[in-house]
Amino acid sequence: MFDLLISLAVFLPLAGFIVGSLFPERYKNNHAPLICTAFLGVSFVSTFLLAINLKFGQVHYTQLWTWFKIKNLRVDWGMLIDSLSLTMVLLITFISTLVHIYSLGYMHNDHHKGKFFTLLSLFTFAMLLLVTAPNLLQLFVGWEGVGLASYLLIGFWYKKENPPTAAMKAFIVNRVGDVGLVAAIGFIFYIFSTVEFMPIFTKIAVSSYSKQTLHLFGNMPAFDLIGLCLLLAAMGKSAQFGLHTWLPDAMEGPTPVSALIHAATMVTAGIFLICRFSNLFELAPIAQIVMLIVGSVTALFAGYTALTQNDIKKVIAYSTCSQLGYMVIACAVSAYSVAIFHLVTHAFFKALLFLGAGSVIHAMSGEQDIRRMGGLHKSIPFTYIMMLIGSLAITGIPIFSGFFSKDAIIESLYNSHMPFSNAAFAIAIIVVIMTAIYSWRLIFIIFHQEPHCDEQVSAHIHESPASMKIPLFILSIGAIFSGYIGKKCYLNEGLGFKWGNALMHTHLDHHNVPLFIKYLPLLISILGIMIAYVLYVTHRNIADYVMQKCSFLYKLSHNKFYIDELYDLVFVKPVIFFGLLLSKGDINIIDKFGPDGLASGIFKVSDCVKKTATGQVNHMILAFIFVLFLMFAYIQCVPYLPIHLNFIGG
Amino acid sequence: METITLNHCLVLNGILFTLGLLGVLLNRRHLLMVLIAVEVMLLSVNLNLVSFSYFLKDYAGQVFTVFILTVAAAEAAIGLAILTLYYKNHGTINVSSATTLKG
Repeated sequence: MFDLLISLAVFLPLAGFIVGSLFPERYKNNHAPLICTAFLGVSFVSTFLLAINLKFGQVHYTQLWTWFKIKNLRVDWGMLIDSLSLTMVLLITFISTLVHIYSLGYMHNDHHKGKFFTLLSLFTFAMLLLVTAPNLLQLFVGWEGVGLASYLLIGFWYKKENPPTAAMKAFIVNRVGDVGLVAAIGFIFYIFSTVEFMPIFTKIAVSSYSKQTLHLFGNMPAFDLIGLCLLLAAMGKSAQFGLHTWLPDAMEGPTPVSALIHAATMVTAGIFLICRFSNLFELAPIAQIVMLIVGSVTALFAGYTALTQNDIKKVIAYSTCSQLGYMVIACAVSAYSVAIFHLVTHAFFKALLFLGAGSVIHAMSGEQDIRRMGGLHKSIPFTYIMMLIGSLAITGIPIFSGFFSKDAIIESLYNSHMPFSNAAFAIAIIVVIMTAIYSWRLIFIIFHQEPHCDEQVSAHIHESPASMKIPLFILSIGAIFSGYIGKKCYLNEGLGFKWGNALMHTHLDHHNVPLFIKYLPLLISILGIMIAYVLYVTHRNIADYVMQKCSFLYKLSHNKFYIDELYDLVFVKPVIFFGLLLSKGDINIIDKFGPDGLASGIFKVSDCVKKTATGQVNHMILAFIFVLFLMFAYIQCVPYLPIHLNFIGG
Repeated sequence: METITLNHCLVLNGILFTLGLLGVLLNRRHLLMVLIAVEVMLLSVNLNLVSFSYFLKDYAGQVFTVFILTVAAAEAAIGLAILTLYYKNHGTINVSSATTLKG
């Protein structure tokens, strides 16, 4: 029965994609959305039934069929269900169902909404394939599948100017990370001579494997090298510093896409990958230190950038980036279960924030610039409350989910004895205050300042339809309670939940943490909210004053540390220049003497031949007789020829 | 007194055939002349058949000739019909002006 349930959960979204795509174009918009949504709902229900009936902590492996077999390498399609992947599957199907329902309202007037829903389903399928993969190759298929779906959905409004470019950027930047994943798969196969997870995990503990070295840039411990490659892959997918540039641009896609793919699920695939290989990372100290640095830099950088962005979705995008940094930090200090805990709570409140932002954009007739909003708390009170809950959760106010998960990260950082963990702790505290400021800056500017929009827009402001309100409401419940329940499940292994061998789980030691450290994040968050209140509601001239006084810091943040410009200069421009150079060579040398030369040569020859065809009957007969004569001559000469061409009767 | 041999006949036929051929090739004015020249070529070939049949004592050749003459008559009729139509369409039967097949 488990096999059936998990197969249903994974393949129903695929069925939705296929059935929806098969509709002819004019019926697609009417039928595909409902079909995809219904299939996904069933998929979620079957996952839910699975979660109720399955014993957590055990591993359940469903083998479907063999993909290919080369000598002793056999790769199967299948589904590996343990606590980690089940958590992910539940989360993905749940959020995806809600986003589907939300999109019914949000994309109501779009001309290609049928296509939109089929792509959402395709994404969900690829993501499920990724998290349930029993081997690295299936994981890779899912990994690329979500990349493809992300590309297609970012560029969904392909007639506008920016989305296609943003989609291309996301695809290309992700390729850099994929190189890491491919290299990691190669190294893992070289060391363990298998790509199946189960044998790999048992072999990791054996010391003869962990002591191996790979000769690359000098002798490196094999596990460290694999860890670094996996980290590179995770950095690409989870938008860590250096490879993060695609995530803010990905906001060109429709808002439900941002909520599902670029906040709740796909960007957490990197964290999932790291947690999958938690046993390996435990034996790769260098990779862990690099991970800690990457996570801290990302959290700090993205938090700082989010402070000054003016696009509502960009702020939330950088916030996502920053929270992903938190998760990577947690992984680096071996608190994998805490990372997954934060992943889950983050999925709830960030999806809530994004969908809330979508509701705001919907109300403002497509306006995304927060400087042209303001005073919306009266006109759209429901959205206001939802955004408020999301912001309270991300800021880490007690009883809301972010409080539990963020505290757990900070406490495990405090307990860690890794090098640089003190610096990372300090950074985490700084990011807490930044999180509070940028989240509440959004709330205060959008909902509390006086309206800045023109009359045409303000006359149109309206609350969203029920199909958008219901998902928001359900997510807000998740954003409130997932913290408390998640803490019992993921951290203390209560409520029937057990990690088993799914990942390295260490119980948090609360007694080691002084009371001051325990309450520090909360105090700082409240301080941050107060600062935001002062800066953006009561004393707004202070913000302008600070902006002028520290114009360098402001510009650095506002222009995202000029990283896009830097990449443009270092990578894009040279590549384009080199490409143009090569294309010149192609046109002037290869084309000129190759295809083009051949074509014009044929024209010249045929022009010559054409002149002989005068159309005069006499000439034709003359030619005919001449050839006849030649043939007779040939037959007469046959006995005397050195070679016998055997085509006229021998 | 020399008797007529096969060789004499063949030479005569050859001359007739060549004359017909030259008539086809060199004539640049009338399509009708071309038709007549073709007929001359055909007759020379028939004569060839008859000569061989006579000297080899095999009368099948002469039977052939009778049949060929019949078919040739039909053919000539078709040729003349084409000629008439051509004149109707083009207003001339000049050979050099018929260059529709020019490349």
